Amino acid sequence: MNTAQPTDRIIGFIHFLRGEGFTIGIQEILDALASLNSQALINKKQLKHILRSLTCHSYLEWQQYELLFGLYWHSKEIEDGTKDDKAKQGSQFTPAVNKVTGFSGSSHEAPDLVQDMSDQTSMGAGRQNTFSKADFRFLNDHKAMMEIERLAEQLALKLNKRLSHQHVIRPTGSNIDIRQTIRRNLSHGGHPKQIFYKNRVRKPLHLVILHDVSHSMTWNNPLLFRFARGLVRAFKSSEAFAFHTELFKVTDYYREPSIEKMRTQLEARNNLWMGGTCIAESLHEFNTRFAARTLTSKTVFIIISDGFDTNKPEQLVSELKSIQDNSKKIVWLNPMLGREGYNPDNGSMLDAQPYIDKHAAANSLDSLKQAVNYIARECH
Amino acid sequence: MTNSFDVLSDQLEQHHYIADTDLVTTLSLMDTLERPLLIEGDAGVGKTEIAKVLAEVNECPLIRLQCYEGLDASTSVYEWNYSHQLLSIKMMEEGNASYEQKDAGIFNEAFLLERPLLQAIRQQTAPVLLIDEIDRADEAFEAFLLELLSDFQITIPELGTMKATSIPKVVLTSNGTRELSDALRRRCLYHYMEYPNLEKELRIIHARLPNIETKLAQQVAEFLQKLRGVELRKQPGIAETLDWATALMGQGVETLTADDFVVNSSRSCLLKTQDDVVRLNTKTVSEMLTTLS
Repeated sequence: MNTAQPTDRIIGFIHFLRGEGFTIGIQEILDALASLNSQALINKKQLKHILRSLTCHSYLEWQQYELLFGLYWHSKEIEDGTKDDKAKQGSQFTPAVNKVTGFSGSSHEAPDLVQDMSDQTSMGAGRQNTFSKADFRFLNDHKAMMEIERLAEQLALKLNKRLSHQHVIRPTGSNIDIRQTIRRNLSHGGHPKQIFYKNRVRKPLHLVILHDVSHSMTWNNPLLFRFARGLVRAFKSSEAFAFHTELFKVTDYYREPSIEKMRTQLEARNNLWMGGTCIAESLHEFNTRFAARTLTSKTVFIIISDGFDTNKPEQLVSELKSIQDNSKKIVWLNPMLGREGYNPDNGSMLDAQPYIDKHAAANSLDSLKQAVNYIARECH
Repeated sequence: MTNSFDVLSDQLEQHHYIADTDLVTTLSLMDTLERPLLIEGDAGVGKTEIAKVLAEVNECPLIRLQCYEGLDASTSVYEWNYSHQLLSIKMMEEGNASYEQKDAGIFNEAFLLERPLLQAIRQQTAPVLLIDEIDRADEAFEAFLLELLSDFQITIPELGTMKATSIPKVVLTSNGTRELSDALRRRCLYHYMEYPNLEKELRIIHARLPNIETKLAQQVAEFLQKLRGVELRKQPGIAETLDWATALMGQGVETLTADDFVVNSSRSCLLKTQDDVVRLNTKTVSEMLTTLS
């Protein structure tokens, strides 16, 4: 028989939530006890709601709470302080992981790696604290997927805003900055001897994006598609190319305002997400046909790819070197980077790294955000 | 015997706001613990409306701060009235005042322009402070808010710390376009709002549109529930439900029928993107209408 006092059980429940990854401080415990004392009559439902408002701080925690509450208050084993492994397993929301259908047959390094990684994909939601940290592979829920796609595109568009929101104070311009005028004239006793103006910095980035649409990128493409599309739409002078075993220009498709139309047109004409990946050959084609017209010393060259290449690493190095000589920065966004089991110091990527300015992860919204921050900071 | 939750629930309903018991509990806690409330959820589920109704229930002013990218302290907290300060400096030039006297003369409350956050903590009657769409503001702005949300005070370097004369009821809303900092989340009570279920949506329609035909209200609610099951880029919220129902009532529609031109043409009240209009064509709408009770 459980003889624990209600207060002890509430504290026990909060400890239980902490064990599941919730961040709950002393203040929340005090508030919980204070609010329970302040009400005349409280039923179980109200107790549940009070504790939920105080202990949940995000949507994921909100979703998990219902189950954890039931587990704690209804499970005798947990009440008695014994570990209920079965129940504990049930408390983990294990997202149905996409079945890996296999990489391109031509890629020699992919299948083993994918097998290793798919074994590790049973990560529960309790360990993924925020939506933005969630790996793209785990987002099978259609609603969440659409939301992440939208956020990825917004993030890309934000890069444009971020750049255009920079201001500079100059002695000429059209908008007087009264604050700076006063501050800079303090030595004249506040007399506005010289007027200062606030001017917006407008130096649009020139981006060239190469987007891998081979079979090995199937998981990531709907999201990275939106991200790449957002970049192309944010920067009018940018150009986009997609590749698998061939390279083709997709700038006009990405500029299409309707996503549905864009997808239909693009998928109908270009055999997306089929076959292997020839990164080096695609870069060679780019260098031969498009580089002279698109690359300038101010170009930021972005490659979105997992780096699994069927061509020889030396060929990739040679093509990257040529691009490096003719552009400002090369940023490689890799959806495999940051995932357990992936080693970037392997195969083609090892040889390519000296010629890349930034090899950044692109497996979650957070990682894309970091990449955007890098581009905003370093490439402007 | 009723507790404060039941009382608040009744008050909200009197102001035509139909709230679930969990939301009522959270709103009541917000009052008891004097803590801010962070509400997340899809656009159109009624997050902003909560603040408006709370102000009505408490018969207090609503102070609203709409967040946007680039919002800073000078727009949200306070700003010095520079032009008046300049004038004052010019007027003091002829006098014999010392530097300290001049400094004190221009940095005082007479030259302080109150922005919404400062206004909110200086009210005699505790207002409802709505910080709407906090996710649109920059991360740096969240740092400005931390002092206000935890201690209900604002520090102005030239004047010192201003404590709240009355603790405002702070409601922050977010659509989740950006992840908010843990520091901000930890200072707030949290509530996630879902789209209403059929029963709740029906109650909302009747509460907001008391003259609606029972059958039409039932059909509108059912249709909206079905519509939210369709893969749309922009899901219709409660505002869209009420707009559509109002449009149908305005056109004299009493029941929804599949071949009704008005019904089909008024779907623009519900669909807000070209993609959704293409996806949900007249034929699809008609098919959905035939399944209604």
